[in-house]
Amino acid sequence: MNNSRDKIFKNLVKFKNNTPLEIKTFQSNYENIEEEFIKKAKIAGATIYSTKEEIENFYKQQLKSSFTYHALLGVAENGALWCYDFLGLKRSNLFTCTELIITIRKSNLVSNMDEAYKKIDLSKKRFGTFIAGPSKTADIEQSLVIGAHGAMSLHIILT
Amino acid sequence: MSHPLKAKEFIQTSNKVKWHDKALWFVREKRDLASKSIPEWEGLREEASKIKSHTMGNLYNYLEEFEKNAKENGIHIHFATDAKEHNEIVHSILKKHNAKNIVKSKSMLTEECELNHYLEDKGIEVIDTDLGERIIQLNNEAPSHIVLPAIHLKKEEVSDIFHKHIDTEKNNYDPTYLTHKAREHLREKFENADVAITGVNFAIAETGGFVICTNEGNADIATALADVHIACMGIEKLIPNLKALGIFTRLLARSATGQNITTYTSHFHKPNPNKEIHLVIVDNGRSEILNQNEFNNALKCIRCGACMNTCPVYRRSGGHSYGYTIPGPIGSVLGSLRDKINHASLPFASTLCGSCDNVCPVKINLHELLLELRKYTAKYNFSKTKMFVLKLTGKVLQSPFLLDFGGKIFRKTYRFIPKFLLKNGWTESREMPKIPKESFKEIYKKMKHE
Repeated sequence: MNNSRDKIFKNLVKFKNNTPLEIKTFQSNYENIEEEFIKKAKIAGATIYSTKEEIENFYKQQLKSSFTYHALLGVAENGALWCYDFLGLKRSNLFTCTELIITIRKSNLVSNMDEAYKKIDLSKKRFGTFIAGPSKTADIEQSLVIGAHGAMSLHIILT
Repeated sequence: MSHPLKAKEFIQTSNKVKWHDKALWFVREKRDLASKSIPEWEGLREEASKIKSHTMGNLYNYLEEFEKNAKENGIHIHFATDAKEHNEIVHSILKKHNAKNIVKSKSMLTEECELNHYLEDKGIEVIDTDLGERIIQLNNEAPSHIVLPAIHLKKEEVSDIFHKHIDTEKNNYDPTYLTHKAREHLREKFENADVAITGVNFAIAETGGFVICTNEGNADIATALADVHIACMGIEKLIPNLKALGIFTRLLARSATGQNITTYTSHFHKPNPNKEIHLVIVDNGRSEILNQNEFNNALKCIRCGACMNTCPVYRRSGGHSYGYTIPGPIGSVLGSLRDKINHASLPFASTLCGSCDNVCPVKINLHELLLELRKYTAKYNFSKTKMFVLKLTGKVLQSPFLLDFGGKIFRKTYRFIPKFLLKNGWTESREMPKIPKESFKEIYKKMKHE
């Protein structure tokens, strides 16, 4: 097995150099980051509850097989929420539940993925995922169907 | 069988050309809308292309860095020089864990290595869990598109396949019904899975982890439930760091399906307690392509499928006509780089219109690569007659005198040439244009005198 490793590296020896890389930073200047997040999360298929009334009414419902996650990071450009694995979380719940509820504070929204990755420290994490909307597929004749394998719906509580 | 023959088969027997063309153009249009929604789009493509070139140019170091960091994270790293070794490694891990129930999410690399067939021969069944992949697996077919594997099938056909294999109602063609039935069928497989096999979208050298993007969540459910996760990646999947990942996650889904991001963008870094993550890093001809300066741009590909969706030839000939794991412009390049003799027709499965270059998120000069590859085909695969005609044409076109003279003779005599002599692939469905009595040069000279 080590033999194969050496073989591959031997083929790459020509590419053993150390030229520096500089990657440009792209800023997204949204006028209202919260509105942008709501717009994009809706495009991804999520339902948003942001007013006091909406949130109260939401919690009055009886949801079957739901799971709640408190996210600490949301991205306005695409409506994605960062959910990472921590001690005590049964990670599969994020994906096997029927109704996924994710809470997020307005102050924890960033504009784009560039900003998002600046805030993420993966060195201590086992697993983390950006979730945008409910699970979906368009594998049958390009018809969008919600609820492929993961959650059938995503409810975002924006406070 | 060559691409034109298989394309002919698709066009003549399937009655799907218009429908297939439209379905893919629809995806291309969604990509356009998504790309135009962010003003920095072109800048992102520029950066992405630059990052990939840089990574390829420093691959030794990045691979070394990744290996070290991933091992520190507790990921088991395996190296495979070719498909056979890749399959053997996967098989040995399955055997070690005495795995009975194996689920797999989409991975073009495992298709390239024909892992499913290899394991079947050893008596091990692998269940594909991506909906499109499951459909074609039940129908015993190869994927016809890298993002939409079952794009060549109509919902009526999918309904028949599901009725036969997973007992859905006959003649129920509703995509929602069919998808939810597949969900039930596959949920059971997830719950019993011992091992989950996945592909990899990006491997991050700096953090020693990797990223998988899906819309269905199949890779996430599978890896969360199974005790062993085997991920398979080609060496070209490496990127330097999270900042680079930020660029690629902004480009990938927008280019592929027109979504702003895939539903799940999952980062795997350490196994959970009592679980294992294995990563098989595969070369299988990639380092050879990397060492060919004129072609190594092909390794920048992030497998979004945008080049196929826009390609006028792909849209009208179907993915299976390419006869290679990856179809479309990028598949034509990779396929013929792999095997210049058997895939000799692939560089010609293009109009060289360059539309693929324009949509490629990492700016691969696909049409130039295809043109370059045609030279190889000409060298090794053209018949003597064809080479003679081409050389003669070259001579005539180089000499104004021969061109004028030849043209004159042709204009006078072409009416007497029997039609069958002019018959070839091009004139089969096209009429010869009307040939004027005089050449442009002659008309011009006359006008000048008047």
